[in-house]
Amino acid sequence: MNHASFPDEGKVLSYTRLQVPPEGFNAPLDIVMVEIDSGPKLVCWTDSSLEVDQRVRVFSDQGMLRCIPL
Amino acid sequence: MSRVRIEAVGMSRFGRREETLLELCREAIDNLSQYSDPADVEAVFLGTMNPEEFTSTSNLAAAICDVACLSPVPAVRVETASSTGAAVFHEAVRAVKSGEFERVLCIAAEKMTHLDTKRTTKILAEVLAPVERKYGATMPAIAAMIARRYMHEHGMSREILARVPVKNHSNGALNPFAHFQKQVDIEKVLGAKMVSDPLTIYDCAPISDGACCAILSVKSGDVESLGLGQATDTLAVTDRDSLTSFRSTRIAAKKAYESAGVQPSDIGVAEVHDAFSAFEVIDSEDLRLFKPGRGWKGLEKGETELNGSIPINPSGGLKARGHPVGASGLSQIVEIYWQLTNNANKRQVDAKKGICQSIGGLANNNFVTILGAVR
Repeated sequence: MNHASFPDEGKVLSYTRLQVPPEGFNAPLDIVMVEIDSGPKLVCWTDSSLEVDQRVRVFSDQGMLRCIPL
Repeated sequence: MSRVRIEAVGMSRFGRREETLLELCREAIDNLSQYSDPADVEAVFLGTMNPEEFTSTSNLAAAICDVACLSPVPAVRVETASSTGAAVFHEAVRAVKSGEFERVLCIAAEKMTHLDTKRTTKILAEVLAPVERKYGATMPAIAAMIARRYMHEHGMSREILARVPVKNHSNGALNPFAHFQKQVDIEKVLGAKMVSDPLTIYDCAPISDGACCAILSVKSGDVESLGLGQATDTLAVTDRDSLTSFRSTRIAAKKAYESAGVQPSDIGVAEVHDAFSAFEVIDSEDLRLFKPGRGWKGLEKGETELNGSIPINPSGGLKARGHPVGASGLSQIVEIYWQLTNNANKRQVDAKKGICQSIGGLANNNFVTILGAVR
């Protein structure tokens, strides 16, 4: 398991807006895969409009990771 | 030890069915019985992914022997998530190769359309890594991110990706066992309800019921198992090197090709796991039918159509033939058997060797099976 400390910077590997989320989550759900500069890849949420390979900052918000464009 | 042969196959119609899991199994066995009598098989191998949660039934290996009047034959159940149908075939081949059994029955089935979609999606999402589930990711969400990344890395357009379900629906329309037997066009695919962008409902295999089976034998059968391969990978997609290639398929394919003594260029027809449209393109590259990043070009040029140089998913694939999760892997083998024995009717292609590729979970327990017509 890789470890990273937050906030941290990286780039967007990919993202999607999920219209049919599972029980316990509301639609739409904006999910992102980010590759942190130090190496590890992670899943997080976002409130921003993103593009693949965009530079982002990943931070922790109430125990869940989110990212915003740099 | 000479190669294990497929003596006969059978299938139920895939789709939204009223019948129970065991009744669907009976239907598949009855279909097979038109060609070969399963009465004296020495063992039964049953593959079904999650009957406990989908149907609140268990102890199914014994139950199927009872229902098919095969007791007291020994029977086991095999499970590897959505590649279960391939796994049960591989286990049955090994059992015959071991010399312990000369003739066995292999069945794969799933009953899952009776639950509401949210519940079914939740059960299916249990195959994902906890860290992915924590963020509400489902299989379509992860597949959508994979599709977007592939399009970005290799320059495939959304319109070309839509050719996968268009082709598979066209093939499914020629398959009397398929869940969906109606053609669709690109506009319909692109304009359909969005599941997780960029994937619409037409980019995602349906939820289906269905069963299929095969008798494996040391001595009789017109198709033989030439090579098998299987490999696992990390649960979380983010723990892997690449989003646009499945390492478990690549390793499984290498093992299968080597044990078969076969090259990708020898393969005349393929059935691959198109749970999501982009996966068909990735699968075709992982099987080395196309170079990395070039699978979409083959699709664009029509090379994977029925009349192309390497037809892929002549059955209609998971998309149109349907995806009863535990059964799909074996139904691919059934289709290749029909193709290699000239029994594919309007879907018939000209091939002496075929390959099947089945994905377990989100590509962490994949199987590759190479079959050949017996000379």
